[in-house]
Amino acid sequence: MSSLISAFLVGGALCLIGQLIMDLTKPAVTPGHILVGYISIGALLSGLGLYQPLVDLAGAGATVPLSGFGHTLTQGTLKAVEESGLLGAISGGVEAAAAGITAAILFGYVAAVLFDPKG
Amino acid sequence: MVNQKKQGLQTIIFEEPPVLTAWATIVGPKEGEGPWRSDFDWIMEDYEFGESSWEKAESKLLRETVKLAVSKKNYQPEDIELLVSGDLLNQITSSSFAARELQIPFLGMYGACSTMAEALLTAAMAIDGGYFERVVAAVSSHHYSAERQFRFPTEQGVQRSMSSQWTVTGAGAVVLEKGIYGGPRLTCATIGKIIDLGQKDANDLGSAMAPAAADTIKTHLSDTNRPSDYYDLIVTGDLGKVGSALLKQLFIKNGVVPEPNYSDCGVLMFNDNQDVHAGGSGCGCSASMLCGPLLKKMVQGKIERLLLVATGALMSPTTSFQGESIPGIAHAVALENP
Amino acid sequence: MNTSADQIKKIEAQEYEDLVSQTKPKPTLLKNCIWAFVIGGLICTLGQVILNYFIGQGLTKLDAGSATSVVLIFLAALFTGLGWYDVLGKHAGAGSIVPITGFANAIVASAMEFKREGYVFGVGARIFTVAGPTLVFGFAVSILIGLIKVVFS
Repeated sequence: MSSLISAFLVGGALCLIGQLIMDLTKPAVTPGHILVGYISIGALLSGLGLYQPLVDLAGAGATVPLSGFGHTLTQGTLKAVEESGLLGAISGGVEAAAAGITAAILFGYVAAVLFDPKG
Repeated sequence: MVNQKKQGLQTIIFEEPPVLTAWATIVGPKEGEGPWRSDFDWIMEDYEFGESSWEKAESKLLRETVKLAVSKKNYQPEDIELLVSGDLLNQITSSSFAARELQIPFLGMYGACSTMAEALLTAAMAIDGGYFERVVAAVSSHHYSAERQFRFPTEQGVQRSMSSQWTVTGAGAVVLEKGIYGGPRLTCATIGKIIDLGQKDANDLGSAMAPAAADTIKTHLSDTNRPSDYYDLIVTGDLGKVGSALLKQLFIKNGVVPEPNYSDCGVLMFNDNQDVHAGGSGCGCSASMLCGPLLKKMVQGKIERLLLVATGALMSPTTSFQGESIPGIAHAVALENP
Repeated sequence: MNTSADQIKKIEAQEYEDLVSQTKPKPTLLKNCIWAFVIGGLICTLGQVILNYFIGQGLTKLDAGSATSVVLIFLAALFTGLGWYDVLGKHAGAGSIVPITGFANAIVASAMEFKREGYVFGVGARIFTVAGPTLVFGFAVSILIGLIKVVFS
């Protein structure tokens, strides 16, 4: 139960920060910028060792926001570097995030085939 | 040589003012839920209008509106000598594809949301120039075809900003004729200059266009030596709540005070509870308001003299991405009962 | 050349900018933030429920995380297809953009919108409108960090 509460609070807080950035910088920051920003900052914080503590604390509250996807990329890269050096730096991130990326493209395509935009 | 037909800096005076003999407007479902439901000729049941894409729906909307306007005078499309038409889409395809079906000689116009006034004044020039006797001016816009071209895919979950306006789904068509008929006539028009005060927010076009509207109205009144209360109503095209509030402040700055006979089609179009934020926009906004409630009020004699100042924001997604500011334009057409 | 005219223009633009920022309605910040917090929090909580389920099924933490992402992406694609996600997004703002479901929504919405331009260069190309930049920057940062580790170890 406590894992659910911490996921709610931390996940909500990460979204709240995104909302503040968008509303206070209107119209410069669009949803696309938010996605790009979160994945990049997540990957960066993960590299500095600052994101793992948040994941330990909040579980899905830290992994479900797109910054968590950045974290997955970086952790995959770092692990692969340990195993296979330079090549790992290039392949590790995509390997770790493969399920998410492939699912997004596959389901995206299938949804586009099945549904029409309704407006 | 003294030019008799031009007066002042930017205003053209029609010697034999063309008469608006018939008009029609078809609007989308959301517009039909607004305050003017009974003043529109026809309200679409859905946004697809029996077609398979938003673009096809918009073209059909324009085509059917032209047909409807023409049929009110018992004309066939082939009785019309010239179609002057425009819309918001790339390469104004809604208009040209409608003209493909209608087989009326066609001039395409692009003035963004100012196109209704641009088409009307061009049509009137064609008639008063002595080239044509029966011309149709028409425009259309469609919420979802505009949304996907200028903003986001329609199913993306985004929050619209408070100053953003809702592109109206609607088309308006006016038959203009030479000769002596009863009905409102287009007596003069002021062609606007592009005014750009450096506004860049594509979610707040009202602010980008308000200075152009102020400039055109001021020029029109000084060119024609008319006081602002000459008109029963001065109505801008689609400044919305933000833009029209700004325009009122610019009026005060310019010493022109048309209130309380000033209003804006974008503000009038929807009810407050329709969640459109700052109001309506798009070519269809001023066109539907004109061909719906406003001309109806002219026929009823509730408005004798109307100045329609349609406003346009002439940017594209490309120029916005390249950091360019938004050029605004406004054209004014004066409609007067005989 | 025309420095004084340019200056006047600049002053005019600045004056107008001030007028605009006075007139423009502010975003309803508090309401938006509450919505973003609650919806964002709930999506993450749903993620936690799914994660706990997969861990309970004996998956490793890492695999459970991947599986959770896949399920959330599937749900977001379905909701977008049904035309519900944009309604949620209108209220939730960042609450429905920041979670991975927002990433999926952007992908599906772009792909769906361009269906009428064909399945190859419509759907196939546009599917990356938002996903493309996001992945480019995600990859770039993670590879950079990997390279730094290679150099310093």
